[in-house]
Amino acid sequence: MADISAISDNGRDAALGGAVGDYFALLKPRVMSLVIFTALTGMVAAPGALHPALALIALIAIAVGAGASGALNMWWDADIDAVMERTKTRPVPGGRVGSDEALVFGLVLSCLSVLTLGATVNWVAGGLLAMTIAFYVVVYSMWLKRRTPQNIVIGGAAGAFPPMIGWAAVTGSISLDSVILFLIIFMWTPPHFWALALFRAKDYEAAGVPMLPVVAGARETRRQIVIYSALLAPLGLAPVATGLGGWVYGAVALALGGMFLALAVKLWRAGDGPRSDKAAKGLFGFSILYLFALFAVLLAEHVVRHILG
Amino acid sequence: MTATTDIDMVEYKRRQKLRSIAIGVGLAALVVMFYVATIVRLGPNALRKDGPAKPAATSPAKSNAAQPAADAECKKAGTC
Repeated sequence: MADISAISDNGRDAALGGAVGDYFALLKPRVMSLVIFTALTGMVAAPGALHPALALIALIAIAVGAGASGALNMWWDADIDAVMERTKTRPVPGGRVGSDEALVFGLVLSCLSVLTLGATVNWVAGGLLAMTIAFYVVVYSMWLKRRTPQNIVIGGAAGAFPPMIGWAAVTGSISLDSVILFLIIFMWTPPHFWALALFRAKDYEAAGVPMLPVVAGARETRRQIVIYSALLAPLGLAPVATGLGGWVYGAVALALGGMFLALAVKLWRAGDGPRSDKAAKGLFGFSILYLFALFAVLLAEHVVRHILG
Repeated sequence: MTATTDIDMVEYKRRQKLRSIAIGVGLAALVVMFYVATIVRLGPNALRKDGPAKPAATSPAKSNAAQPAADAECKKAGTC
């Protein structure tokens, strides 16, 4: 047992050990909820059927795997998180959970989630989950994040895997449709995070993270956002071409894709100054709605198809 | 030991207890998940004490294939 009487107030929280809520916060619950949602969409949209109990186990394993990668990210990035306003109260920089504890917590949950998904559902899904965790922690957090402004472009793949894992849980394979779902999130990630980085540029600069606005400036970032949004809008319609999405999905994807592009152009035309921040916040907020709505409509269409047989 | 450290010790024990409960719940959930997955994957065979159901002893195809030999035997024995 730690000798609590011998430590200062700063170390008090760490010596007491984190509360259960602090460990839950290590899992990045908000990111986890998006992962669960997109993985569920992949599972429901996939051809074939999975026993509901196995589907639930698969979702839990995917969620825990995503959470574990979040914990490992917080372990690795504790020094950066401590500097940034948005992240300085996280459990590790806040001193409520020790760095070693976060590491062990993340590693144990990573292993358990991959083994559970592989052993109870199938090993294609288990392998994809292992790859996702490794990609997020090693490729994005350890390798790219502090080295290149393209960090979020390549690292974004980690966040794009969940629907593919959900799909693989049902079919045991990877198909064109699941790759399309992957590509939609992959292409959505840069404009989403660059919009955030535009109004948080000082934070990233202080932490030494070479986000695009820090390295190439706001003007170039806005230009890149327009390019990626122009690629994303038609890509959002790809599920209609393959039959994965129906006409309702097509109409929603067309409308929201157009709006996404319009907001990106508005941001581009806003130039520097307070109008730019407002436009960036607007695009950031809308980008969350865009992804949620696209996957929600796809999910609803397939639920209706299942019900109608 | 001061009053502050007494409070700390109480808080330390409380957090430790809650963490232990959370780990216990997590492990129990893992056991339940593997149990349910086993039952679902094995289906009715999970409840059989004599192992998985075996296929029928002779398939129709096999019976048909053996029929000419049986006919010849009964003709030879004059029992047809």
